[in-house]
Amino acid sequence: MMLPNFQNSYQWPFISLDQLDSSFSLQEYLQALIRKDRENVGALVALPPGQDDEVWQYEHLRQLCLELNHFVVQLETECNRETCPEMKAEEWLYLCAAHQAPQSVCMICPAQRYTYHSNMAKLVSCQCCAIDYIVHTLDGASTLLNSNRFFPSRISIPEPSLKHYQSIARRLYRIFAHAWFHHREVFESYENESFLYARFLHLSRQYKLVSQQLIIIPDGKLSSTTSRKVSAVSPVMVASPITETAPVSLANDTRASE
Amino acid sequence: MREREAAAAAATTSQGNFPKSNRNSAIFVGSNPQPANIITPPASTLSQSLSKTAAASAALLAAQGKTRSATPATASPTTPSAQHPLPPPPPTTSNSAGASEDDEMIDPLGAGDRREQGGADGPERALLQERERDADMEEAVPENVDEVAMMVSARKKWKQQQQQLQKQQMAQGKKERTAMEHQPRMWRTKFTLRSHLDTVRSVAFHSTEMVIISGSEDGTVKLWNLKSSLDRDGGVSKKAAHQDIEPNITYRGHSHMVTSVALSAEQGRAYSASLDSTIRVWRMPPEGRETYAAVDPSLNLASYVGHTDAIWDIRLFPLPGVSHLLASASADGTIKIWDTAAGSSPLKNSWSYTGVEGASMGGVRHIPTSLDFCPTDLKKLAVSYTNSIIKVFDVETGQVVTTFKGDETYDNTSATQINRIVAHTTMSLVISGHEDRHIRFFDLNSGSCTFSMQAHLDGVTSLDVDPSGLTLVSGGHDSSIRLWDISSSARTCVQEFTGHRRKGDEGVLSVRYHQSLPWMVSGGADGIVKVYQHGV
Repeated sequence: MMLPNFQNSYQWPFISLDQLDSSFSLQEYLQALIRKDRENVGALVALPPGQDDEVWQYEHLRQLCLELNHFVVQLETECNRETCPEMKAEEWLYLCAAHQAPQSVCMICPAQRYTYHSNMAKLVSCQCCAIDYIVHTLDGASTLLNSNRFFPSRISIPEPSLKHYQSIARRLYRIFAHAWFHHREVFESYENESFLYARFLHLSRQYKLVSQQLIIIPDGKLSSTTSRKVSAVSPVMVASPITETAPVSLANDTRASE
Repeated sequence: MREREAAAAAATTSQGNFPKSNRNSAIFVGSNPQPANIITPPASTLSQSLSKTAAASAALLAAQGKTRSATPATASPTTPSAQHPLPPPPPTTSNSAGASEDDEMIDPLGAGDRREQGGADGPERALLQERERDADMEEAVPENVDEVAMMVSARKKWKQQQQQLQKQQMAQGKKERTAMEHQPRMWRTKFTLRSHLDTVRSVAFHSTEMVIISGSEDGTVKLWNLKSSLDRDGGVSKKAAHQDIEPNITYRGHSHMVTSVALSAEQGRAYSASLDSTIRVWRMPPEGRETYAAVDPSLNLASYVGHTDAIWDIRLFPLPGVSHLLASASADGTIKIWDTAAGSSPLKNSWSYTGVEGASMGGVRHIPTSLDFCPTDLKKLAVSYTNSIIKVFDVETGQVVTTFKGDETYDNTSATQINRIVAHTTMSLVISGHEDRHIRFFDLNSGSCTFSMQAHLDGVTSLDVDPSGLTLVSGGHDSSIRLWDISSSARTCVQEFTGHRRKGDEGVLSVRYHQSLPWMVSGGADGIVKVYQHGV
């Protein structure tokens, strides 16, 4: 079974937000809303009156990571190093940003960007296969969202931490993208129960977390024939960590390329 | 709203394990008065009547400008402290948002301040201190200037005396240190491990190393290896004190929340049980594995399927050299024994409330909540049930050996069920923690209840006995962790501190001791795992 659906679990009555009284009231409220009606993603994403929208996005991203854990459990059954040796989604190839890049490494990129270290340019590509990329991205996002340095409080978000939302959302999007293009059945069966991608898309559009050109899963996604093809600039578009604005690994946040 | 594990009985009408109740008023430690009866940390007496020794030493320390341990000691919630020339109490309650969780040491007993004043001038000094305090009060309203001046000069003289005394002590050097040694060792937070996305329901230590495993409502099990964060002396290294620590590995596989975890050092394995009715076996990662290494599916060793409903608790046999049994308690009413060393069919035995041979009790399903092997009698397995009864079964045969009656306050609802039992390591004792705030002690052989106390301000969720057998730690939904001295018959609380913030009416959910090192770990509703060290 994929999702919490024990008949008698979580059976307490729905409590409205103003009656919740804890540091985690928004998380509890969001989880209660999801249990009540998963499909109504508009209602799930809508900002409750009087609440801080930054904290609301934060709770949504946390909940997203939580539910993606269950999705990964499903994916792991058919996504491994043999089936998907690279993290690809259609024609996009993604390189994992979760590793600490030593100063001398530069990444393959069609724009021919290199970083130099003592006049030697080395081209290195990431070794992460798709499932590695997915697990590292999810672990990295969980660590970042839990980091005391960037997110010390559940009731207010420091200004400099807001930029992490977009990088987190962009990377999490790729998990959906890979699954849709390469593991269609798993994607669809999970989506039919959880409506997770629909919620994520709605959230990203409302708060502009993922730019439209990066949304490569066609709308009307459940149809097997792709109705809209995303035009790629070059045959292999590499999303290089150099262009990311936020570091995922916390210890190394002063990379020269950032 | 209580985000307890609501009934997980799939189809039948039996009462759930931890159904919800609707509560709006949260209980915060520190802002409520202590319950009147059993718990008497001296802080409460301090607040009621300024007991001379503690207050005297507090005033002494304040006069000398030290505020380290004096501050929390006299930070009793109730007195308006006109008499105490001390700074206001630090925010120790759980609802202060963004409260720092580094190195909290809350010392409500003032135990850290009790120094021997020594000699015959003790009472006189105390009297003088009281006069000094009165003088402080009077300074605010000087009625008789002469009298005030007299008191002020007397106080100055006394202060000079104190300084001389202190210089003497410093000169002697060693004498100072013995005075320090009188300070009792306390538990202090050393690590705050944040990575789970929801409530942490269970934590466990490795038996010899500083390795922790935690299971959470987010369905993951995380393993934390803290060896590299310690320096050579076993304390926290400077680097680790400032960094966020990441788990070494996150085990994904459960499709529902994880309720209980266990770690087997000898086998190098972790076990986790979940609401999805499975027990999963994980291999511990190799030593040098980096945090973001490649996914290794071979670490998912096995999945024990057999239960038909949520599993609430699992325990490993305490002598792994003898056998590798794992016992599990499930909402389907059964206890199952698994042999983790067997390759193909690990399920060895299974029995219900009445034991293997008993007839089924037609309709009513008694749900076990917690179990423990008894180290003093390895044939026995103690199990607690939602109806507040504890039964001891024979591990081999599954027959009922004894039934304890722990249900004096049971009122046929889950509000009085037993949440956790633990068997003492050296004495023939079983200790139970109840949802109605009690902790009860039972003799293992006779089954009689030898002691009962109201221990927390809300349900007791977790218990553990320290390796020496002298201290019991308990965690509860009131967010507090309390340490009890069980070597004496008085069973006093020797330390109490706030462990975790509440979410959904839940507070601290799991507390465990390390079996060989002076460390303790706790997991709570705020999704955080905290590690404490015992020291000065």
